[in-house]
Order: sequence, then C-alpha cells, then structure tokens
Amino acid sequence: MSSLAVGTGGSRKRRLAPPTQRRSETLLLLGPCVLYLVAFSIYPLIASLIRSFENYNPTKNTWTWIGFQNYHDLFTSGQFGSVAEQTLILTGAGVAIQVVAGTALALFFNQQLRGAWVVRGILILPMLLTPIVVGLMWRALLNPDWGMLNWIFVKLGFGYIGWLSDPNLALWTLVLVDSWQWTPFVFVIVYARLQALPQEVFEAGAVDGANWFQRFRYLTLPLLMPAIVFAAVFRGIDAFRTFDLVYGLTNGGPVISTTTLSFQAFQNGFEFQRYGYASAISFVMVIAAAIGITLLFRVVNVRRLEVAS
Amino acid sequence: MSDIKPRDELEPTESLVSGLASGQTSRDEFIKRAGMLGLSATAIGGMLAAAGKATAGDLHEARRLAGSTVNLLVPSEGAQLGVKDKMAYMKKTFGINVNMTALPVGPLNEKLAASVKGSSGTYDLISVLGFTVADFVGAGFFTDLSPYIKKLPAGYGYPSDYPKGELEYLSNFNIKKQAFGGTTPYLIPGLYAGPILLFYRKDLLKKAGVAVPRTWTQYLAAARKLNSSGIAGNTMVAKSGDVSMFLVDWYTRFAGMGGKLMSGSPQLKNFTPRLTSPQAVAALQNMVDCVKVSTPGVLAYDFTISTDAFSAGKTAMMLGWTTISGPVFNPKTSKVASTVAVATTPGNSPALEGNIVRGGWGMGIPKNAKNKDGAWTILTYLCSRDWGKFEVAAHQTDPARTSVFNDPALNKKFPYLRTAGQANQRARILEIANIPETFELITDAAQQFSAALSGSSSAAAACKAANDQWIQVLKRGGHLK
Repeated sequence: MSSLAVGTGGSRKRRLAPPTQRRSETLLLLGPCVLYLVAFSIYPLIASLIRSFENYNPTKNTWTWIGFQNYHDLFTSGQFGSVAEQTLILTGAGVAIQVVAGTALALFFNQQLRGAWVVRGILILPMLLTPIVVGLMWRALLNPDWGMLNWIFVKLGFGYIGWLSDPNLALWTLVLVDSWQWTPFVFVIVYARLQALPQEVFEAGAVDGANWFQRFRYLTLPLLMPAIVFAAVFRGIDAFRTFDLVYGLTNGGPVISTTTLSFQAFQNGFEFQRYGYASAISFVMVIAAAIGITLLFRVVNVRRLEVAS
Repeated sequence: MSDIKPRDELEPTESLVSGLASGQTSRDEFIKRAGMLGLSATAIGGMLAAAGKATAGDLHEARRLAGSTVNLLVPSEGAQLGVKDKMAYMKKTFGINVNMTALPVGPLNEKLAASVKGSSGTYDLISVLGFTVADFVGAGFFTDLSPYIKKLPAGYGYPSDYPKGELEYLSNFNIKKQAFGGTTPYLIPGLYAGPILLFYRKDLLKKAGVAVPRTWTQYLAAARKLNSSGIAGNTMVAKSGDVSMFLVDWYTRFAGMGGKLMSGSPQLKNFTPRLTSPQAVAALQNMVDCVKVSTPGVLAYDFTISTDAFSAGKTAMMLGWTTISGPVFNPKTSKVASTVAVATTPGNSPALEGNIVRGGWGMGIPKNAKNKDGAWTILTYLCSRDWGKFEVAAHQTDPARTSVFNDPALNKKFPYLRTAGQANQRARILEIANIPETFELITDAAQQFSAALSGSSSAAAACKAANDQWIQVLKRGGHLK
C-alpha cells in the first residue's frame, strides 16, 4: 500500500508508508474477509471434522469420542457402495446429458433464426427455479393418479410407468429431471462463448475448404472447450452434492435406489440424529470431490496444451 | 357438516365470553364456568379484563402476559388449519400473539431438535410426535408440567378425559428408566390423536355381496373381489421409506395376525427384532398380494395420495389414520362422502381385531422456552375439550380426548368418530418407541419392505434384510449385545 504526501518546499513526493502502517492497513482491509472465512467456513469445517470422530447420544445429549468408528460403519454398512454408485451415476449421466444437450442447443440457437430470442428466454426458465420446487413440480407431473406424464403415456397406449416407484427407473427419472433443469445452464455458458468466438477463424477455415463437420471438430469444439469444461466442472460439483431434488422427488426411495451421499448425510443427521455419522459422510464427499476436481483439472490442462499445440 | 353452528354447539368459551361482555353472565358465574372449561387463571384474567370486569388481581394476571408472544411448532397434517383459524381469537382472548410454524413430521423434528438444544429456544410450545417422545422428552429437553397441572381446575379433565395408554405414551415419561409412563407429566395429549381404522365403500361392498372383512384373509379376498377396471380393490401407503407404510399397513396386519415385534428389553440389552417371524412375513406377503389389486401407482402412495385416491372414488378399501383420512367424510373434499363407512381393523381372531399402533401427538413446553407461562395458557386452550370439538367440526382431525370422541352432537355429524374413539382406547404403544432409534428403524424397515412390494425381492427376503438392519442399529445403540 502506498500513500502520497506533500513534501516540504511545495514539492510532491511519493513515498511508501512505514511497514507497521502497511501491516495495519492490510489487516484492516483483509481482516473482515478472513474473519468471515474463519467463522463461516474454517470453523464449521473443523468442527464437523471433529464431530465425524464422535457419537451423539440423544437421550443424554452428550458427545463421545469414538475415533474412526463412524468411517468404519460407513464403509462396512453395505449401503455405501450402492449409494456412492448412485451418486456417481446421477453426477456422470446427468452432466453428460446436460453438456451434450446444452452444447447442441447453443449451436442451434447460434444460427440467426427468427424469433429465437423468445425461445431462448423460455429455455432458461427451469434453471431459475429452486431444485426443491422442481422436485415438487415433477412429483405432481409424475403423480401416479393424475400426473400428466402417465396420463399421456396411458393415452398413447404405453400403459402406466412407475417413474418414481420402480427401483430400476427412479434414478433415471432423477437424471431426467436434473437434466431438464440444468441443461439451460450449460446452454447459457456455451452460447455466450459462441457469441464471442472470432469469425475470422471460421472464414479462414471455409476458404481453406473445410466442410461443416471439420469446422465443428477442429475449430468450434476446441474453441468452446474452456466454456464446456467450466460448465461441466460447475455442474459436476453441484450434481455430486444433489440433495434437494432427491428430497423433493423420491425421498431416497424406492428402497434406497435414489439415495445419494448428500441425502444419506441429511437423513442420518437430521432425521436419525446421527450427527457424527452424517459428518463422516460429508467428509468422505469433500475428499472425493477434491480428488475428482484435481484429476479433472489435470486432464483439462493436458487438453489445453493439445489445443495450443 | 357445513351447517354446524360452532357458537351454539361447539364453542362454549366464545359464548361464555360473549355472555360476560353482554352482561348476561356474572363475574362469579363466568369464573366458575371458565374453570369448568379448564381455562387457566391467566386466561380467565385476560377475559375478565377484556370485558371490563376484572379485579386488580385478575388484571395483574392478565397484564403479565398481555402483548407477549408464544412461538408454536406444530405438524402440518391438518390440525394447523384450526390453529390458524383461532389465531385472532387467542390474541383477543388471552392477549397473546401466537406465531405458528407448521411443518411435516421430518422437518418438524429437525426444527424441534435444533430449538430445544440451544441455550435459548426458538419455540415456547411444541407438538411432539409419540414416536419421538423418547428422543426429546427422554433427553430431558421438556419442562415438568406438574406445577402447572396442579393449578388446573378439575373440570379440565386431565387426566380423566384421556385413555390410560394415551397418557402413558403422550404425557408421562420416566427419564431415569427411559420408559414411557411414570408419574411425571411432560406433555399433554393434543393437538390430535391418531387411531387407525378400516375405511370402506359400503355401496361397493353391498353391490359385490362382500361382508366387511374381519380377518386379513377376508380382507385380501374382498379386495380381489372388489377390484374392477374402474375401481381398485384397495389402496395403501406403499411409498418406500414412508413411516406410515410400516405403522399403518404393515404393523396393523402384523399385530392383527398376533405378531410380536420385539423380544427382550433395551435395559437388559437383549432387545431383539422379530421381523423374520411367520407373522411378519405373512403381513408383508398380504401387502404384496394387496398391491396386485390396487391402483397402478400405489407404490408411490403416501397417506395423502392414498386418501386422495379413496376420496376420488378410485378404491374400495384402505387403512388410514382417521385424523388424516377424516376428510373423506367431508362432501367438500370427497366424492364418496355419503358412501364411506369405517370398521375396526381386521384381526385373525376376534381378540386381535382392532390391534393397532398408538399414534398421536403431545404438546409440551421446552425447558429453554422464553415464555413458559404464555405457552401454558395456549397449551391449555389447544388441548381443551372446547378446541377439540371445534377442530373435529371444522377440519375432521381426531381429538385426543375421550369425551370429544363420544360427543353426541359430533357423532351425529361424524358417525366414524365413536369407532375411532374405541380404536384409540385399544391402541398399543409401538414396542420400539422407547428408544431414540425408533424413526431410523421404521424408515429402514419401510425401505426394505418396498423391495417386496415392487416385486424386486420376496417378502421373506425383505423381512430378513430389515431384521439384519435392525440388529445392526440396535447393537450400535447399545440395546442389543
């Protein structure tokens, strides 16, 4: 930090403030931010890490240190494998569908179509809704008795479909609903990037005789990749911790076929009062997410180098 | 039902206040009658002050709470509508602002847990579900109501107006022994009770020549016979993990077949589940068979959708909490109001008929409540006979009091009420309700049972899976070595 001072003899001199003053200014400016981080991020994180090594007794309202027992219980519960797998399916399949569909929509709307702005506006509406509302809305649409989707399917002669009650289908219904809500997000990101791409590159490609597919494969896609990766990473993190959609739509069932790690943490923490166990699940999620993102960024960096070369 | 005149038949408190204000009732007569209705001294003081007939003592009592606030946490299963209806009345009568939060059971328990564990609670008055009494009352979060109850007038009807089992479950708790009952009251039963009955369409049964089923075999046979392309033979709560699937549909069958859920006791650390017993498997198998003659979407039914399907005339029979399903008798909300009848639930012998789990809620004041006296005033009103009658008339939720179940005027309008009252007398406490893991166990079983209902496992395998899970939970909780 520097300051201006008026020197003797009327001449303006620029000099640095003494180190002590600079330190206090730094503290003053960064202090609130650091305090905020400590109070709302670091302290809860450490507190919940400690809790993950403890057991809460609701009848005595006491906490007991039990070491790694919660983690041991989690990994040997018999449910962890399928819950983790479901979380990964919801994340992987959901993000893949959203990236492909969102990019396709962006490319489609990048053409100068008449009235496209109206459709674009409507298209992004789902992502403006909160996931719990989306869950409840879709629960109504999928209602077994008066839901619109089953009504249409029955009228078309397909018969009744147990969207939320068939253990083999419920998770894919969640993927569908999640994709319905978040494809517009990928669309917006990719579309914004498309609008900013330099046209000269494409003109040069056309002059060199590249066909539509070649222009897409060797020009559009590499140039869009940063936006696609950003959208995928963002959505991946978000989908990995999906809770509200599960809560609103399936409550983790049938059996545990749509239970995600977040939902399992919620259920154990807030419904069964197993706070320590819920904290352990959350920490496993944090570690898994950190590893996943680190690996992903390493892959992304390689791609960038490839593109640059 | 809509032609009930609450003021004439069901609202003695309000007509009493009107009489006082108009001069038709003297101060002494008012105090005597208000005492008979069970109103607290504070409430009576408030009413006298409002009518300009208060002495200095009355005014002191009334002013103490005037303008204060009571934060109330209740379930959103129907009774909250009555509380909302009476907000202005409570403000006018007691001078207390009531802020109500009404939530479904899951979120309510979350709020409850968060509120009672803080140094200063958010809520002054809370409805506690019977299945969580061991969790929250057992942990010592609620105020001993003995000193307040001592001041209650005899006419209030506590404890005489409640079934013994209801008081044992929703009022007294022995914290030292971690057991229901004992001599210390922490809750007053209310806002409503939750007996389970068999609801059926008398027109359809008559047309098909089917008698009201008295055994579970008869129930299945009746459901099969009643099942047609237009109307399903029966419906049930079959949504995975739904606690009512376990409590209403499975447990009623299980208990009606003579099943015993647990052996041993948590205190002796040999509390062992019997979910693999023949009755447990037979009860689930009966449900599996009933699913085949139910509506196509039954596997997604919670109790609201199940009741809605019945009200819409889509099914011929169902089991239900009467407090939830009461509105099927309301022509405004039910297409079949005039053709519905109720019976006690089937059992494989006359002695096993009507064997149901005890449901219902109790109201209590957390130890960390900010306005305990105000909360007690509101509690005495919301658990009063007067309010119970109003709630049944207006919203068909079940009362907690025997006298309201048997009220002649209400029974004239709601013929199911007396049968519901009888069921409420007989209901039994769920054997696992005295440990904090109750909800987890019920949810686990309801999840595993749904595998059988959806056809992805056999009834025996689902029962075995649930039993294994229960053993794990009971061991973890220290109830089983």
